[in-house]
Amino acid sequence: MSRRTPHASDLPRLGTLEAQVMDVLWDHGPATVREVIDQLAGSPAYTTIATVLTNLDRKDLVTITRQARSTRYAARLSRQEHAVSLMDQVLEASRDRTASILHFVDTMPESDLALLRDYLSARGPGERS
Amino acid sequence: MTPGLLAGLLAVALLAAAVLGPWMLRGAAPALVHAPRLAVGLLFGSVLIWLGTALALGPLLAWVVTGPDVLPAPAAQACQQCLNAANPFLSGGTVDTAVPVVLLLALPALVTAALGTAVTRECWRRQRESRRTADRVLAGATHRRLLGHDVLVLDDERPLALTFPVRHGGIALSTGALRSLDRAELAAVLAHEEAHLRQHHHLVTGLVSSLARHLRWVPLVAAVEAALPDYLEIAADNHARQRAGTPALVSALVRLGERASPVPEGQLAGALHAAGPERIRHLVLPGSGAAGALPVLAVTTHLLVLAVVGAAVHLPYLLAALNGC
Repeated sequence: MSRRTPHASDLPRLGTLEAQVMDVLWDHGPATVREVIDQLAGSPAYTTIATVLTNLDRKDLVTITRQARSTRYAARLSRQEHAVSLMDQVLEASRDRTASILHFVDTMPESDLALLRDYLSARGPGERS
Repeated sequence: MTPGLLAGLLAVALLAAAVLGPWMLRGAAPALVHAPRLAVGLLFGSVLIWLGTALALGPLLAWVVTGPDVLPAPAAQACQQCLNAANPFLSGGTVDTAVPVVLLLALPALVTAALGTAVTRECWRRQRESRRTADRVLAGATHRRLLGHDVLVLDDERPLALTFPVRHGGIALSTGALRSLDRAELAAVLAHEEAHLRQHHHLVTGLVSSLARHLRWVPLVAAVEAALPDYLEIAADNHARQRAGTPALVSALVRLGERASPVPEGQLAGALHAAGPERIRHLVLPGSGAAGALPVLAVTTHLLVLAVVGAAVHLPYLLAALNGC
């Protein structure tokens, strides 16, 4: 199909633990595996968090810096940037109508905007009804 | 009228509806735009009626032709008994062809079963997709009550106003949208989104898109799929105008529309919207008079004829089956 656009399923999907680890990195900045564990409730196993961080690296969501004998992980994008890029992809996917999302106004040609502005200016400022 | 002639006429009528349907719908748009909910019913109905009548063509021909025996004798006898029980044209003669009669019945049945399965699967796929998308978009959203509406507020500077199916979250507005809109404009946007939910627009879109996924090669179906979203938006706009007034709705469209990266003329999927009305033009420059009335009459009459003929073929089969032939 020619109109096919990226699906939401193409986006990196975050599991519950992955989301918690990303939250730690966003809230506290770059951290080692041990520092991430210290911020999480229930003290998960070291190997569990190391695996989660490896997965997040595979999904291109974290950067890894190796200094001396420690490895630090940092979020590649800020929480805001991540949300925006996620939303961009989701909105793009929703225009394919594969996901049931109705937009109040999506893309609007300049001519339609001009018609709307003409209507408002013909009524005069401040007129409401 | 002999069933053979009837089948020929029906085939021509179906072909005309499939090919000329988009052109007729475009002609009917100026009238349909004044009753968008009726238009939605007509569009949806036209796909269902066309499909139902197309599937009646084989069973209709089965009354009039004979062909080579392909079934074992007992099965052929039972089949012929059912065929005779349903046939209102028994007294007429038959035409001998090389097509086995059972094929004329089995093929539409197979197509119905395959299409039914495919559409159901497509609906499920859309459900899953919609749920997943909603979960992603609304992950960080907060619930708020705005002007009497339950709204999910997304932390996003862009002016977004979206509606998910109720069970997936309902109305969602971004903080950017809330910042751009005054109270009257917000009321218009919320009334518009509420209309989408109350009038089950997600369900209509889902069903038509699922059908269209497999039948888009029929020009009528492609035209219906393309025009439907415009009528749904106009129906929602009408509700917003009743609640908040046209100026508030227009103003909200300008505020959210000009920030939604306006596109130059010609870059929208123009051909896809060819059969639909123009939402914005209807809002600010509503037409009047009888424009489009004749095409509406022609489309409605054509559909009624197709529906009656389709029912006249399917019903005798159904009754024969219910009565055990």
